Amino acid sequence: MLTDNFKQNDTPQITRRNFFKILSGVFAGFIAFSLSVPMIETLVGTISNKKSRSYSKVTSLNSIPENEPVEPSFVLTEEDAFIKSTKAQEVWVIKKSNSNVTIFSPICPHLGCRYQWNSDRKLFICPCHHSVFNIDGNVVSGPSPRPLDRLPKKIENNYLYVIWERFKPGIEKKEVI
Amino acid sequence: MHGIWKWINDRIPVAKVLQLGLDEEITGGASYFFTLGSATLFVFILQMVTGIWQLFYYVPTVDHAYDSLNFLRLFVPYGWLIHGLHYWGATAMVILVGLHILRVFIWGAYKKPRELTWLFGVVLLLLTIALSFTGAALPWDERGYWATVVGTSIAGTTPFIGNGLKYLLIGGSKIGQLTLSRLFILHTAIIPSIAVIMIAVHFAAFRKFGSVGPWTEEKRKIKSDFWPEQVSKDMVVAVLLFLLLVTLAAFNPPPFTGPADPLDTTYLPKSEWNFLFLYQALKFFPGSLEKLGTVGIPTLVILIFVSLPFLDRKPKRNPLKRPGMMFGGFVFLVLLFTLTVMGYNSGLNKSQTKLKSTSIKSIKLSPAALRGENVYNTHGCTSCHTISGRGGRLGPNLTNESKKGCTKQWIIVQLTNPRSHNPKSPMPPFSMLDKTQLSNLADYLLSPHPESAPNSYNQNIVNPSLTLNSSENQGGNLQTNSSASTNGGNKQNATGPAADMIGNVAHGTILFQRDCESCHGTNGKGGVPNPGSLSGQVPSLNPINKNLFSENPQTFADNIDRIIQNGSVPQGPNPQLHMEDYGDSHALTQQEIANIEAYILNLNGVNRAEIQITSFSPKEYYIIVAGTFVAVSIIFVFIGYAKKNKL
Repeated sequence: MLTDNFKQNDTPQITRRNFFKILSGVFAGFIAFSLSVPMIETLVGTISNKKSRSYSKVTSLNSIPENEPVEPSFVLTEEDAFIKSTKAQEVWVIKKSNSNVTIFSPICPHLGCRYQWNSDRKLFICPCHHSVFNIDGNVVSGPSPRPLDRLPKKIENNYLYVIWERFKPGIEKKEVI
Repeated sequence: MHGIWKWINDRIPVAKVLQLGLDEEITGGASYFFTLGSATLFVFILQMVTGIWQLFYYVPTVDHAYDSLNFLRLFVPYGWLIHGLHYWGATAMVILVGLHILRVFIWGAYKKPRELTWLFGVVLLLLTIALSFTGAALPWDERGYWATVVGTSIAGTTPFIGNGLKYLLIGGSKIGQLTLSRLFILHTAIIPSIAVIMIAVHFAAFRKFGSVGPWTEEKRKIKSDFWPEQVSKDMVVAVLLFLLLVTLAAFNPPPFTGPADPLDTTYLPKSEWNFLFLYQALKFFPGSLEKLGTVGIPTLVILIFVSLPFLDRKPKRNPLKRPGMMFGGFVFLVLLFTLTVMGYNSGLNKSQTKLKSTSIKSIKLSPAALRGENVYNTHGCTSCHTISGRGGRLGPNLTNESKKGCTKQWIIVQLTNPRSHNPKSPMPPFSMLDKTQLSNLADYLLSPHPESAPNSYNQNIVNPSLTLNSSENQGGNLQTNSSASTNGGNKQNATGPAADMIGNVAHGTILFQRDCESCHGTNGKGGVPNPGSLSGQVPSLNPINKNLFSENPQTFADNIDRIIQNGSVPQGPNPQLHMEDYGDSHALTQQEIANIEAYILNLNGVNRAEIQITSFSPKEYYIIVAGTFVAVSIIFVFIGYAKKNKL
């Protein structure tokens, strides 16, 4: 097949030769297949493997006063393949009782400024465009299109955990970035 | 089909190239003896493919090389296979090149007109060794790092150019990032490129004169074609090699030797198996003669290889008629094997694990005192007391207790009821010791001890938690980092880099014995008293607290890493012992912590280096591949048998 002089061989020789040809081809194919499937999988398998966002430990419930918003900071870990980076992150925590805890993202849903708690007026006030929210996060006045963004949380062994998320500012819908 | 083939060949000479590669008459017929060259080529191609694939994940930086490789091995589907094939392929390559050379030597195939084929082969041998050396460094684990330290030092002993060569190789005066970058480029770009060119030349030269064939005229009359007779034999060997490598990758994966730690003094490097002969040979060249070993031996070997076709120019190839040559080759092999086996068995590793006990035994102890020493080492005494420069500093140094004139009875009372001698003594009563233990311990304490243990390490590093001064202690409150237990802050929650490093269990064992055992007990079994704490004892790590345990190695490592990094104070009114912040205080390096964590996980039956994500587990993949191979082989054997009987 490959070169012309191969055709000159007599018939029994050809069957013997064909046997060797098939053997070579099948074994080569076997190695190629056994190797190429894992190699493709190596590249494809990791793409969908984006880790779901996990809970970060914020603080112990005992350290939070009742009905008074506090802004504890915790360590947020971001994982990107084998590179892990950590940064300190703050959230607003309002504890009404040990079972009723709310966590707000500290980012104003209007245009992304950092709002503050005004303890005299008992209101959250954003210094940028004066969006004002009450202790439940509802808009009292100002340009904010939606209430303060609540973050998913859980309580375990008297510790508060949060899933850190960012939301698109400036729109009515709460949309994760 | 034929039309397309012709169309292509009218434009590029595919058929001619194939003809050059495949169309050759084999003198003496196809033979399995002649498969070694093609087997080497097969493994080389496998190395190229798996090597390139590893580059999708591996990064050549000192801070991420180890993590990135382990990410590939544990978190990427079939990453274990890609890396395992490359690792074992490297070993196979060295062996195959060796066997190939041996075959050529026995057949006398280096003789005229094949001298240049031989010389290019010698160059390929050297390139293989260079690939093996540069590749070993890339994981930047303990083994690779220390192999690089030793290897580049050997290069540095070359006369005249040694210092320059070493400087060039490691990119400065100190091994670090630039070294890794250079070895990486050498391993992945420069050496393979040269090797590909050399293989092409080696192959072209081989094609010009063909296989050397048998030495007897009678056998030379048999002829067969390279394609497909010889190629099918080559493929059989290739497929068997492939299966062997898959088996090794699946059932004997490369070890996790722990992240490279330049500050580590407990790791004693030993050469890779293929350099063991040199490692062992160097031991015979003391002091000023060392260069004879480091440079002399390799140079001599290379010279012999290079000059072989020019020294041995007689045309006869039958090994029986070349007894001198055969004897020389035999002696060379015996030397190589003997040195390798000696190197393999040499006792470095054994003495290493005994570091702890040998360091104190330079003065002979009575049998009772020896038993007492065991009690001393396993019941928490070392946490507070120092003997021969080892131990804590909370309590008095006991090295010279024998010279203080205390009676054995006084010591036993001090052990069981310390406050009877000094009402303010912070020492906990060791009432759980039985009479024999107390007597042995007293014997040990009253034995003479050397001022400092040979090979002792820096005490400040060993056990920083115990360097508290006594005034703090008498205040009755040791909770120097009490925030750890009640913590509202964030620092105490953080894991350190060690939590993400895959440590080495054996190395972790040594470190644990050195730094942790005095409080957590032998093998982490606990039982060491901690008066003033709620539980009264230092927590056992074997088994570990249920809240810390996890089947998932990463979660488990994270949980204990927080404590090792940041320390913790046990609950209770006045705990005498507490866990110091080994990571934050830099008392242990992150690499050491990673090794200790691997050990603690291992104590609890969790493998730190467990493969996390895989479509098929190594075992399943192996069964599929090996099963398919067996099925295909049976079909071939059957067809072959049927044909033979018919013809």
